[in-house]
Amino acid sequence: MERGSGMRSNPPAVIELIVGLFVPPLVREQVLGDLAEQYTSPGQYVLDASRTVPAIVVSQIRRTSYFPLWPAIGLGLTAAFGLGAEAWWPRAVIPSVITLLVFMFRDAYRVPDLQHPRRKGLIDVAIVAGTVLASEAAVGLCRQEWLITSEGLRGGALALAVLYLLRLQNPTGRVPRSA
Amino acid sequence: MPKHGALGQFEQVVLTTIVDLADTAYGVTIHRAVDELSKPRSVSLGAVYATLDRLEDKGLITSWLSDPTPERGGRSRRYYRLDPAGMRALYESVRMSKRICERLELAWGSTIWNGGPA
Repeated sequence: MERGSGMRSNPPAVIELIVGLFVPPLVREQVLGDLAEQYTSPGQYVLDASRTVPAIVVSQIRRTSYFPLWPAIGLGLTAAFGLGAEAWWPRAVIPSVITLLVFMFRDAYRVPDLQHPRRKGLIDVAIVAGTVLASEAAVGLCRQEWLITSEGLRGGALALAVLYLLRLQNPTGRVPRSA
Repeated sequence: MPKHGALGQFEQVVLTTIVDLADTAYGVTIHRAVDELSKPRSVSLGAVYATLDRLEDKGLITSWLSDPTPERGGRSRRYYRLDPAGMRALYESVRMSKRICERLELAWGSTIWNGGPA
């Protein structure tokens, strides 16, 4: 039977719910609808979703992350997290990379909240700070000498405050078309 | 030279498909038509979405959500259509393809339409 013809059934709700968690909210409606329209069996649905979702996530990252700014932000974060440390590598690089990655995925999966951009920005920064602290806890279990110094923690907090203010300048979170 | 630069071959295929489908161009129909045009190569739905996003960011196409439909579990379709800039970009791209074909026809003769050169 050709896909999408004849008797149509919907994908199991549980599978659809799990797939939906991985699809960025901005495109979830049409993506889950298209996948449902092509549904023939649970196996085919999972295979289609596994081939489709990664490309969608990468596309959303491309649309929401302004990569030309990354080197400057990365250097700033590394300098901030490395404050007070004689050997800043990898002490300052780990939290800097984690910060950039969390912001990248957060932007790809966030729904712009134009009514409450400050609150949304604070949540973003809080998630990043929480992830950095969790990663520091994990790093501390393996290599104590890689932990951020207290000056580095203060520097990192200041850097996140600056990033919060920068992000308020673009509440939609979309990379401008000309960029 | 247009501001958005030259179209890639896959972008050309997707734009052609949107023109061909007219009012019925949305994810599933575009994917089916692109897959058909790209044979023997298989194209994933994700690759089509990524290209649609890129074309929209370039200002070549516009999209909008339809009303929810029952066969999609009550979800909407996102329909696409070409913007005037997309029409121009596709036209320029097709003209270039035609010039390439004409050159190759001169070099290879009619074999270009019969399996290509040996």
